[in-house]
Amino acid sequence: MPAPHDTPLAARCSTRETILLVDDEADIRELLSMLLEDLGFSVLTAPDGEKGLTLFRTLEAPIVLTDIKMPGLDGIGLLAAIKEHRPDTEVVMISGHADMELAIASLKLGASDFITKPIDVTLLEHSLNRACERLTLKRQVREHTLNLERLVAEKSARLVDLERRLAARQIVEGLSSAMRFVASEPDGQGSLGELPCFVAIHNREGRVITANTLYREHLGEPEGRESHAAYGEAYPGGAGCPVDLTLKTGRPGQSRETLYGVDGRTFNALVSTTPINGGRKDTAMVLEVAVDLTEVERLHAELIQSHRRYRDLFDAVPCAITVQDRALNIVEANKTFLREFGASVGQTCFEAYKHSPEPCPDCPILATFEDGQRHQAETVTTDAAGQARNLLIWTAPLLDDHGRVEKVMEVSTDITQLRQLQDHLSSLGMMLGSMSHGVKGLLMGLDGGMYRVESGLNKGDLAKIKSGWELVRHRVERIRKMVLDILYYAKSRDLDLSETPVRAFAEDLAMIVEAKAVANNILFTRDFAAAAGLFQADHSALSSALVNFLENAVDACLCETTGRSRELTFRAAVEAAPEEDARVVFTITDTGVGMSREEREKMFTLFFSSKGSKGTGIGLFISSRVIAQHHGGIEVDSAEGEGTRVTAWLPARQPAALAPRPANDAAT
Amino acid sequence: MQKKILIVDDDPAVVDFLNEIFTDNGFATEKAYNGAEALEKIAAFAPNLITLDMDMPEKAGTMFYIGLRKNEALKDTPIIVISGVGPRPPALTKDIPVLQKPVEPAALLALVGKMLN
Repeated sequence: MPAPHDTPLAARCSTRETILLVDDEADIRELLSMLLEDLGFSVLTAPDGEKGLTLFRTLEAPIVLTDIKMPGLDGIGLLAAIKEHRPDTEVVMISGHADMELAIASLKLGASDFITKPIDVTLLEHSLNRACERLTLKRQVREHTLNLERLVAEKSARLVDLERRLAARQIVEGLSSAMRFVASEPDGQGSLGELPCFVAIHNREGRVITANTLYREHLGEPEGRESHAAYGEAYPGGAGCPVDLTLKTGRPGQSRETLYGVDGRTFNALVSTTPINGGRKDTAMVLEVAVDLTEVERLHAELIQSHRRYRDLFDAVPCAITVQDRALNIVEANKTFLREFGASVGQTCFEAYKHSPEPCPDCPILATFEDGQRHQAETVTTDAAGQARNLLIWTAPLLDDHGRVEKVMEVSTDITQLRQLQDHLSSLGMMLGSMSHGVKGLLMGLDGGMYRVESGLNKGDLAKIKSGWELVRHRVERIRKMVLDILYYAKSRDLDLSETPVRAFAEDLAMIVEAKAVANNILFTRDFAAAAGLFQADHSALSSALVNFLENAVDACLCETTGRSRELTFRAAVEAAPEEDARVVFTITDTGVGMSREEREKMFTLFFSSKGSKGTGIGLFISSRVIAQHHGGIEVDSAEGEGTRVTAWLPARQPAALAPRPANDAAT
Repeated sequence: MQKKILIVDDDPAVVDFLNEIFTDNGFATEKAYNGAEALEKIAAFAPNLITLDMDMPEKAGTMFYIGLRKNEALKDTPIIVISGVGPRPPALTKDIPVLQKPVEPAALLALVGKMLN
């Protein structure tokens, strides 16, 4: 089997895809173009967002690779414009380390992925490979939808055809009932001959006088034949047959009969008999008109079957299909829809899908009513089981006889799994991307320390050995902490609850941080006066969560260089809460550099770090997750240049009935 | 004459480490913690070689490289890229060797020796 790299990437796409590359740096454009062409793509390039958009509008590349930071229309703006124009487009963002936030924001705007600078060829290839796969998938879904539309159109055409034929038959019936007038004309033979029913005129003796051509062809020579002969053995001797009854009663009659043809065929017929009295009192002749129902019945059966087949198809499709009117009422829906969303016909679309009192903004159905075109949208809905579902929606117009949009069909394909996978991959990629920088820096620092120790050993320089060892120890501690954080992130474990005295727990925590604080001339104060009592928690998880805050407080003090006094207070207390169980509250107050509002708002998002190369950004994210798992909360007060106060609380007794809250997946 | 090396990296631990390796082995060094500082120092210091971290905030590595190429007198100064993430940074040509962090001192010194001769 060839290694993946032996096959040009684009060859694995269904066609040779075109990539539009937008970057303001000429050398990166040049280099990436070469690279992308090597991978088998056709490449278009543009030096900025505006030119990129113009090019996109004329040539519509299915894949766009764009830098985020550009003068003028930047990558985010370009992304939004492209997604509005062609939501199908796969847009991959190129971001620097500094604009990780923007990169994450771009995912929310519909970017397929992002890669960070400097560009790793393998990651780029991987990302484009996925984009190609998604393109293929989307094309398949679209083809599927188009096929479905065509099938529906064909079936509808057939239905219309069948209905026309049925109508024609009904006209014939009407015609035959109008026969009595025709038959009263003296030269009935001529008109009778052309009628599409079996028409015969019988005399008083119960014999056929004359009949039309159709009768002649199928039922045999009529003249002089006994009236009941056409009914086979149903009326031996003729008594009780329709003609006989009319002769005897003098009244018209109607009945269903089976007629037997000369070639052995049988006809299910509606027979109507009319007396012709020619002005005399008693009946002189009988006009018998037999309408062949065989064909009508066959058509009817076919119609029902066709209806049923269409219905089966409609129900069996693995998409939710609804047909809606202008008020977005669901007038028809397939079983998939009814089952998955627990809704019913007659509800509005937005009630059924979104439990919302009004239509969604940018409703694709309304757009189809507006312009008669197909539209596509992606949305998140809640199904009958209360699960969020990502749906890819296609709409198609259903036209009336005048070509006006009468109803709109909506086909929704569930792409939840696809999206989940994509989110998971994105967050894994984000994690790896943002971690590797920090990890490599740490390793390099470790090497530096080791080098200093070795160099000290060689020279017999004890001071150098000591300072080198300090470096090594510091870095090893950080690496240890980081590895534990990663392990915690990678595995969402359940809480291992146990009961401990609050004060003992707080003392242990204080011990971990106090040494470092004191070594850095930070005044460390313990305030455990109100910390009497026991509490339930997963102590190892909670302790690592709180250590993150304590260490941050120390770091914030270390960054404070204006000469203000460095103080760090750690308070633990048990507080009675009204109408609730008691809470354990940990408050960490420092006089460090403080945080801006923006920093404060982002501090618990994954990979946020204010420490540059010193932090990985995973610590606080995990701290907030641990506290949330304990049904607690965190409050942060901070002012730049004054300090920060972090308050973390949790109930002293973990709700027993409730399982620990499942940790949410990474930043979404 | 003592050869001069300019160390450009935003991580002080890395700068210290490289500095220690080079001074231990008889080089004169100058340290810069970002692209702008490196561009400032380069003219006065006139290094024989530069170690450059391409993975600094604000594309400082690339910007420094572009700035260096604009300086006619210094543009041919040999560069070793010492980088943390990924393979070759795209903005650089193939003549520039790239070392991955963490760097092996012996390998670094061997490469420096080769490039200065």
